[in-house]
Amino acid sequence: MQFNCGFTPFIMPKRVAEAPANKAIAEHAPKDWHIGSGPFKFAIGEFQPGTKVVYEKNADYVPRKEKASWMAGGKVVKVDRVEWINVGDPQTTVNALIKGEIDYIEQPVHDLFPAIKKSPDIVLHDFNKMGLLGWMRINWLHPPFNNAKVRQAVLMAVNQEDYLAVLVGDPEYYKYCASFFTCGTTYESSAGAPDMKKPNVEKAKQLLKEGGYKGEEILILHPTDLKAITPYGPVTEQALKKIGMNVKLLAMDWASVVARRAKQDAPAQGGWHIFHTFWVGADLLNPVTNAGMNAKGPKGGFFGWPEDPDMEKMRADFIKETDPAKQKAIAEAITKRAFEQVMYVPIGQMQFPAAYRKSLSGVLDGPVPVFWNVEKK
Amino acid sequence: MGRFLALRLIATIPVMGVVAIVVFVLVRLDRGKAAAQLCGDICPPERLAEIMTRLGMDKPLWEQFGLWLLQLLQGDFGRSIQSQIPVLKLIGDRVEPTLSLAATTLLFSVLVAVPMGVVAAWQHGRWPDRLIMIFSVIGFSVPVFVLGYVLILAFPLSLGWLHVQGFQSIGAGLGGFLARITLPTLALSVIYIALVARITRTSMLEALSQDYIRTAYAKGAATRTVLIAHALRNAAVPIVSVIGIGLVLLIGGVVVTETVFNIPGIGRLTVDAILGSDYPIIQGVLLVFSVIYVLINLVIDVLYTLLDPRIRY
Repeated sequence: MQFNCGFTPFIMPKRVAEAPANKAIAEHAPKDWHIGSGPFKFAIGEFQPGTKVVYEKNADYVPRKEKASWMAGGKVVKVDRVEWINVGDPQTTVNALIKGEIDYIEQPVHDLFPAIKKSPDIVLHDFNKMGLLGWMRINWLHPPFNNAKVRQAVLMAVNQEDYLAVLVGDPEYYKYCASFFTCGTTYESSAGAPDMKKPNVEKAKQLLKEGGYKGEEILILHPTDLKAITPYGPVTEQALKKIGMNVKLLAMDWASVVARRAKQDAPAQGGWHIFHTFWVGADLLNPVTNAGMNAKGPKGGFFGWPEDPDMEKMRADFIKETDPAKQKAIAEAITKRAFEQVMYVPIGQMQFPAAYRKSLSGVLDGPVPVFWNVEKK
Repeated sequence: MGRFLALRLIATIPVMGVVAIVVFVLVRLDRGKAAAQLCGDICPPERLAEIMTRLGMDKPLWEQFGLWLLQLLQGDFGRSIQSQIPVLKLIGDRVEPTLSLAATTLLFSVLVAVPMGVVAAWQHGRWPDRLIMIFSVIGFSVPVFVLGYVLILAFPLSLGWLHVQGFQSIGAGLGGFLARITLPTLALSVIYIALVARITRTSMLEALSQDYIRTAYAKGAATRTVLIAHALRNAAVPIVSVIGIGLVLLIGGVVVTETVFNIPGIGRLTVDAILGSDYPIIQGVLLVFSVIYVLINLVIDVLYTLLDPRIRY
């Protein structure tokens, strides 16, 4: 294992891992190169980038005896192949499912749930109970947000319900979650959290005053092409205007957000103040895997670059600690510190169920869709 | 004619040169986007800089352009940043669905629109003319994607006919091909039919007012003969022009239609490349489209001479 690629340690031969990022790995071409050592094999010959990926049952794979559980246990494949089709339009995807042209949609948009629920042949399956969690990320490097009091003012201005209602709509599929670690899991904590159902406008204004906010223009990166993030920008704009901030939404595509959020320049020189994103609940289970808790500053960590040696020390303590009770106490202290420093603003937890036709059975839960154990009539 | 064709082909070289420069500069305006996407969620500035260097984005613009031009002259359009697959292969893989859709749309539209225009001109001022003109106005006004959704609701979802999405090569079976291409063709044809029908009508009205039409009637020629053999033949030049110009509209519409009907064609490839900042693909597709436009115009110019022998180049 050569590199730690994010939170998932991918295992690959040294020579492949060391290949430059701008060069194709040619080794997948030879027939003897075995792509996929797990229950499925990647069918390289049928790969159409942006259109279709095919996975075939790996006849040489021997599953474990236990029952499958998330990514563990016996992964028994009961179909010959899985075709993963990229359909660009959400309405077309649902229409194709209703018509029976496809069997499964990983993430139909919530607006189309009424149409899905009307069909007697389709099941909505919340395969990832931990859901997704929205973030408002603040840039710590530049005024006014290099001052904790101004960041706290933003935290006070937020009403999670506004974000959740506009993005998801149906309360059945979202929940209030004033925690940095996924609600419903071990380290969930609201230590030090304000009431994020009820903004405290007066307190926020007071904090802005104490933080020396002088009416600087706040630039929010606003992607207009990403259904799961687009609604956040105007909600934040509204919330910050209510507490007297001078806000500007910069409309752009997500690729531009990705490029601009990496810039550490001052906002007026091509940088930024705020952007929104969301993470899979399974990534936010503890202070180590939650990228938002990384406080290494400009030379490390997730965009926004918070720098807080105390936070880093607590994260190190958490890693070293082996007693679960003490780990929990550290996670709680980290939560308190994170709300105090406003590592980011949590804006709620959402469920994104999959939809599939009843001709499928044995569909399992998981952090991502898994297709072992699935049978098709 | 041979000299004309040779001159026209030579004239395309500066046109393509200008297109190449514009495409290159436009795409490079956002040169950091692709590197940022490759860099991922945890992206320290030094890693971003390293990726930009690997992609050659740190070189001066003129140097990047020179290298790209050199590649182009060798028939190398570069590789996709995301998939590392040669751009020409990606375009080649997506050509069939787009060409199929364009061809069926063109064929269907011309077969429907020209007779509609002829009938409207023949029945000028009467109810068939008014009906066709109302259809034309509606055809121009309804966006392709709205029409696409309405057709999907009406046929596959309500009646169970035809497919909602996807593409099947004609080589894999005519039935499967038609079941998938019919609705996108209908959706894309409407605006094209509206355009061609209107121009045909106008052009036919002009032709029908000429003396030779009266002479033809006086000689006892049948209405069908007068309309088709005399009037339509003489009205054909502007109709052919608009069919050619309409291909531009058609290619624009293909992008939307391919998205609504999930057709893996060049339109989808372009949209995905733009969203993913995969600039070698964007450059390649724009260049290929530019060549197609130039060739379409050339074909139209040649057709003029065949339709009207008085035209000389």
